[in-house]
Amino acid sequence: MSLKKIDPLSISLRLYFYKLKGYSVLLYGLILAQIIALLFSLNGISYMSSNNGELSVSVNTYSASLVIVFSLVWIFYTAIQLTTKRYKRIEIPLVTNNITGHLSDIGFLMTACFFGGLTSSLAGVLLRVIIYFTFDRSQVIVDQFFLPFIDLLLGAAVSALYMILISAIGYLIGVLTKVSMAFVIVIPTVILGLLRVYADFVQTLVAFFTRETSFPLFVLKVLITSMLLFGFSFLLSNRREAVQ
Amino acid sequence: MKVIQSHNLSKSYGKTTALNDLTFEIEENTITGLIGRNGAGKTTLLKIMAGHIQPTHGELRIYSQKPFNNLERSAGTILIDDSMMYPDSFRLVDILSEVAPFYANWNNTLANGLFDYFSFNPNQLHSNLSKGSKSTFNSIIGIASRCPLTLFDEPTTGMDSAVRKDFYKALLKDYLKHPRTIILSSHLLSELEEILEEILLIKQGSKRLHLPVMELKELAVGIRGNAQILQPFVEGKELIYREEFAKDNLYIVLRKELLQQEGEVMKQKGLEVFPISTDDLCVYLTASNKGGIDNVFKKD
Amino acid sequence: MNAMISLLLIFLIVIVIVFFIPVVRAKLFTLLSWKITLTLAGLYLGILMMIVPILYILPENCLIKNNETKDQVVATSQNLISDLYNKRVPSERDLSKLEGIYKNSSHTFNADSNHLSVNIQASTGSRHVFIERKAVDDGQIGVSSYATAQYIGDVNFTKLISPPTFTLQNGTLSLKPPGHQILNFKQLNADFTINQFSNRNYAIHELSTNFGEQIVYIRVPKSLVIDKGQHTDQIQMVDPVVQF
Repeated sequence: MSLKKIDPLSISLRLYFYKLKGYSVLLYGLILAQIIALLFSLNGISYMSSNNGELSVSVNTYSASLVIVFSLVWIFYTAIQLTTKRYKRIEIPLVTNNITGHLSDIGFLMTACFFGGLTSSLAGVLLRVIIYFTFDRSQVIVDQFFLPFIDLLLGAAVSALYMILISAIGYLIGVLTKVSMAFVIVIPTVILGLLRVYADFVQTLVAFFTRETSFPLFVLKVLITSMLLFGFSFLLSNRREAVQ
Repeated sequence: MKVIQSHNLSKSYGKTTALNDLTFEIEENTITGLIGRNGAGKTTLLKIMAGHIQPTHGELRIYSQKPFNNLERSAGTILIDDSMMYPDSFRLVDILSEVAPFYANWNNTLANGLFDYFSFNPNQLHSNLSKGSKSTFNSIIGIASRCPLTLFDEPTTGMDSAVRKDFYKALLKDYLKHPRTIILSSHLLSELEEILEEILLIKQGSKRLHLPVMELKELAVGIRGNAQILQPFVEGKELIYREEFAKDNLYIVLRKELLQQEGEVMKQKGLEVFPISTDDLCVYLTASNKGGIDNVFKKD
Repeated sequence: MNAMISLLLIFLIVIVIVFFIPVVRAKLFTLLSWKITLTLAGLYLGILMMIVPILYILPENCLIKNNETKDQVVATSQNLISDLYNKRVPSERDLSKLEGIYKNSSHTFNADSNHLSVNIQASTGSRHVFIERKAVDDGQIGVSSYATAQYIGDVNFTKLISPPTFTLQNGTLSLKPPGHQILNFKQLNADFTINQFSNRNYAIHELSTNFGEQIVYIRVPKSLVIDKGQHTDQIQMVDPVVQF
């Protein structure tokens, strides 16, 4: 029988929707992580106090940064999960090859990053509203309380971008451990080694993203790095048997 | 038209050889039974056909394409086995509707009909199904997807006999309506034989024989009787199986064509000559040493 | 508040534990089909988005404003102290009209004796006492206490400082400082994702405390005899003639 040409993109899209529905359970992990982080944030992230004998003045600082950090941890874990045998086996009953499998994984991760970025930034708003209604308002400093809307959008975009970067790193680590279990030991060793011996290098690497103050440049850096990382994951696994 | 062409196909995992120099061809729109003992390499062969793994040596082509990592092949092939997994967010009813878009020939009516017939609970999770129900459910997908190449790896594991019979019937009916190439692997031939057209028998990763079922049925005869009378007849002939089942009593199996006219003579001399069921024949053909399990007990 | 957070945390921990018990998990998943999951995730996002307009309609006048002209204010109030020590009195008799000076309290006592001694208790901290002779003998002693600008971060908390209490008995003006006062503020910070691109610098935003000075300004009748007693260094006469 003659076979009509199968379009990898349309298959990827179908796989993407399948995974979006199928992996949706993972989102509970994100929501739970964000709520827990938000509760921790209600205790304040830092505290400083001064005293001159007659008077103690203290300031509790609050921010929703922890929610973003928890979301980053979640996306890292999720990205690694997607490369595991358990999740690769889900692709078996479907029409797939390596490329479409990866593309749909990335599609799912991007969606999760978008959702996570948006929700983790909005968690800051929720934090402010909770503080407004439950704390003594006369103690709350107005500065940075009413975040400008544009900052909110910026925050959502930046956290989504950080999540994309972290997911690309997690995905590559996941693929590497599939290539060889040795990487399970090698990766932490290399990271620890780098931290000890080339601390400056690691700092430079981290600062490459965290010290970038131009938003367009940041977008460019994150997107290009993520694309390289994902591309590397593609190459590593393209000729490999995903499930044995 | 040859759908599957395998040429010197070998697959090894480390030092273990799963498939060894396998050469065969399978015609389009046939039902082939892939028969072999546990560990004979059936699953490995099916996985290579489905493109999940690639051969170590030699090649296997399906519609003259290598199946590994081949999207077009994946769209035309489905492998039903018990390692199929579905996300936990899908209940059974979701699985049927979510898998459907991937297969061009998917028949929803058939899928739902079979689903209702086997009285599945639509809200159950696939991972909570019993082994037998899981096999049944996976088989529904295998039948309803109507893939040009449909592979079943031990599809009836865990099914009770009523469900097995229903499954074979359903498969056969749909096959007659919508012919496609089907390969069923099993170590049990007896109940499968009705629907099979061809048999590919493998033993320890090598092809033992590849025949239409009809020919297999006629392939061999069994002779039972006094060893002293029987011995001269079979001297120098290649025996498929030989067993001394009681004192001075011998049971042998050999190819029918080796017997020629001697059959009548044997019967006159009091030897029992009878046809061998394909099931038994396959057991004998895949036995690792002649004499079978009895040899173990004979030693003391 | 903390009790509520702990309760919620316990509740969440229970959820997490339940999540990892296979039997319960399986039951839970039977209920949580992808449709429900995606609906809940959408609901979560929707609620968070609905909170955004709430944040912007919250009235801000009950929150603490922060002062951008902090450095200038602090400088002015320090200049005043040195002016006073140099016996220069601003033409403005009410010091609180000056920028950065706040009047805490103001009392008028009838002089009950022809001399005045000021009793400052030992642990009064940095409290400066200035005495000015009025041009007339009206028999009235005016006591005002002021605080100069006090900041933590950009927040001016001068107005919140409790004044000392004054009593006049048998020609002794006693100053009793308020008890140990505790002030607490809550500062909300933008998330690190926003701070990275806004011009706010971490270093500048470090909260520094600036405890100001407290001034007791006493105006006495022309002929009253002042007995400085043992507090000669803390009590300063201000010559009314020298003005600027």
